[in-house]
Amino acid sequence: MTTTTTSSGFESMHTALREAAIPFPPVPSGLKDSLQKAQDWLWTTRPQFEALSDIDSYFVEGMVDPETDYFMLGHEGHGVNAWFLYCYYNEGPLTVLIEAPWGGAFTEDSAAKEGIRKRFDLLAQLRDTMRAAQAAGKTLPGRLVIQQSDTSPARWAWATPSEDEVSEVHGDLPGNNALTPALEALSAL
Amino acid sequence: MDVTQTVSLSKSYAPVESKPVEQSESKLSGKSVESSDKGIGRSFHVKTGWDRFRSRVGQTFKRIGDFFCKKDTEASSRATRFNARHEKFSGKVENLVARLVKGDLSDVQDPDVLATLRNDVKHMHSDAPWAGRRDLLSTRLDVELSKLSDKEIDTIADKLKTADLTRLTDKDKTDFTTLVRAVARQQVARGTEMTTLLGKIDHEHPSKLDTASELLDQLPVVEKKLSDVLDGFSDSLPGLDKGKLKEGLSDVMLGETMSIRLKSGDPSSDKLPGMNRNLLNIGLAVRKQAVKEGTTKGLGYSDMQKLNPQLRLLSRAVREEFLKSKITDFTDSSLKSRLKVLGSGAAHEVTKGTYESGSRVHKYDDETTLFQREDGEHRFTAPSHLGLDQSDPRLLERSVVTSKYDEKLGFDVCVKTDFALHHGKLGIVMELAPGRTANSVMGLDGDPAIAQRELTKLQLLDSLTGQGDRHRGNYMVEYDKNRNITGIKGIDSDFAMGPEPGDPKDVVGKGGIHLTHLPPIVDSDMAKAIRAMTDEDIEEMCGDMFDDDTIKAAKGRLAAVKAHIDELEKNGKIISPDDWGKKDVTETLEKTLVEVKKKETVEKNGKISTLMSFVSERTSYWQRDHKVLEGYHNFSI
Repeated sequence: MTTTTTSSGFESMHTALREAAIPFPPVPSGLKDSLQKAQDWLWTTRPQFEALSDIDSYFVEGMVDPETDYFMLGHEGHGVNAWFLYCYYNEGPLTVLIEAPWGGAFTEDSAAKEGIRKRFDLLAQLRDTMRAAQAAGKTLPGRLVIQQSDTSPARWAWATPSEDEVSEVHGDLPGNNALTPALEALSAL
Repeated sequence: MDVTQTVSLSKSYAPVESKPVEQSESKLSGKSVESSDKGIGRSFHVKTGWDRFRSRVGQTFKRIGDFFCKKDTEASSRATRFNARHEKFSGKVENLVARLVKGDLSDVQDPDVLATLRNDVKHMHSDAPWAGRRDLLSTRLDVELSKLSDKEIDTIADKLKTADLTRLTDKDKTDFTTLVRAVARQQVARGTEMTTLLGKIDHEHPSKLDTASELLDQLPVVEKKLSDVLDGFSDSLPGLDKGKLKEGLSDVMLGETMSIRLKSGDPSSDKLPGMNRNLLNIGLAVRKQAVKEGTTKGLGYSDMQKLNPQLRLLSRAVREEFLKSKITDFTDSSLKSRLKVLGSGAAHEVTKGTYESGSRVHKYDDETTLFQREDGEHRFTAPSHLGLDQSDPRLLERSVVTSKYDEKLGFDVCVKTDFALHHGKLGIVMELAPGRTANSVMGLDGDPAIAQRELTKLQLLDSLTGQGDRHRGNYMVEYDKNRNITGIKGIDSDFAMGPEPGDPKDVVGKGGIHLTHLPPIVDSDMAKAIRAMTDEDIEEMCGDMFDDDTIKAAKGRLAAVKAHIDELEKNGKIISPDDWGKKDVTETLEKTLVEVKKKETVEKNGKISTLMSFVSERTSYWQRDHKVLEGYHNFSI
């Protein structure tokens, strides 16, 4: 395990992404200094976490037992082509979990990077829209939790505090895209 | 161009004439200079203008070829250098061992001799980085020592204990330790304790576990024997670092010792299949016992690495020899190219190579799918739901048997997959499938008929094998200029064939599992192929590569899929193969969902939180993926 100083975590992520020609994701502004390089191709502000590929558990956590602000970015996978870039962004009432294909032996590199760029663009829009909504004092229906998975069904929901009730989770989404409808719902407030 | 391949570290060479290890070689600019008693042997003739023209043209083409094949040329040069040096090095080790048998310790007490061997290792490692420095000497010693009688090994052991280490540097002592460990492995591999252990593996009746407890009791006896032998050396040679001498004793060293015995031909290779299955069955029993006792969350969380690491080592050693005995076509000798790395990002090694029979994608075996981080151990979720032992996942067998299922069914929706052996390590090779991965394409909104048919076949195949990982990155899509999908090929089929589930529906919707419910419609060819498959076919395809529960679960899934087909037939949902793409078929595929109230939990700091939600679960891969393939995905790659 590589231990780095706090500032170099952010810098090393920046360097790795630049060298791999991958777009840079939005990072919660208050977390840049606490970002650590946990191992090769894994940066996190969380000391304890599940495997990034277990994206469902991060969604459930965001819905029922949210973590304080965190950011994670990593490359994980197995086998020949099941390799993904993960970017988990949790800031205030917004949790966005992104899993994008990249790095597999059969995955077309340029197309994968374009897909990552589009996802990160939507993440930035979600962040900006959420910040604007909060600044405007708008009442949110709950925390906005989005799982943009490439392998599991994409889904999003307004998480409300109650754990016992059945939550309304929007799944079965056209084109398996959860980011766009969630952004539309947030913008419509 | 054909690329020269490096030889195996355990290659057999013709015996060399015994002579002292050369302590220095003639060197010129760091390269060996070989003398020749033949003198200049070239003959000359006067070149004509035509000769010169041909020569120039030939050299120009060669330069162009070299430019495009630069890496291949370099790889060939490195392999040629490695092979030549390895043969010489092996001769030196052979001589060294021969003198040890005669009681002559002069080589191993001489720093110059050990430094010469180290220099060889350094250069070989430089030309073949895959060959670990310690492995080069260690493997060679195993090869040479294995040729000796038990008495000769004991003679060497006794003699080594009297060695004078005073002239040796720390580096020399490390090499001396490598030698001592190699001798210790031989002694234990040939010992009565190991013979007793292997005698408890009932290869003829692998499903009967009568001797399991005796075998489990004997495993620590063998480990203790290895420890005692090493202690004997340590006591006699206080100048050696005991920590280094016993490094990895319970892990790598014990496994290597078991492998040495298995490679010796006793037990004979015909016993390996039954031994493999027997050890899997014993391992499964140990894992199930842990579940029963409540020490793990379930079968997919019970890891042999923790429950009984010695059994895991023995089981993996037997498995390695068993699988190696099955490999004929895809070896270093049949490889015509470099293995070129594919993919990017975090370290993973998938390569492409050209064989006599064409190009293939190659992947080495995964010793484990568990991964360690500072905050603890992590695992993939899908294999846990399939009951796999992630500390010994045996993914190669799962991929290969999936390919066999596909062949048996005649579906042709999965790349043909075979075992491979490169650099002495197990792996698999997969056919290169045409097209692009399903997560890389969009706009394929032509006639859906072939997509519906082929995706349904792939789904049925995956339901039979209990495949949990068929996401859009794990199948290839071939298409024509009219945006019609013309073919589907599954790749990377290794998260399958677990001891769970016995019915495919039992894992649908679980975290990390991409299998859908069974299809709402199939065609008559598919129904016929599945109905023709028998339990005996499953036994035959699985051979002795899996434990009994895995084979039983596979039979259970076959029965469940057959029952589903019977139900479809009753409801008039078995169509003609020509009906795919028709409106009613498309509607059935599109609209059939299974509504469930889903319960998901997450555990954090000892607290379990639950998320309840209503979910519409998919019933076909086509339903799951077609909108993305057609282009409705805003950011499909």
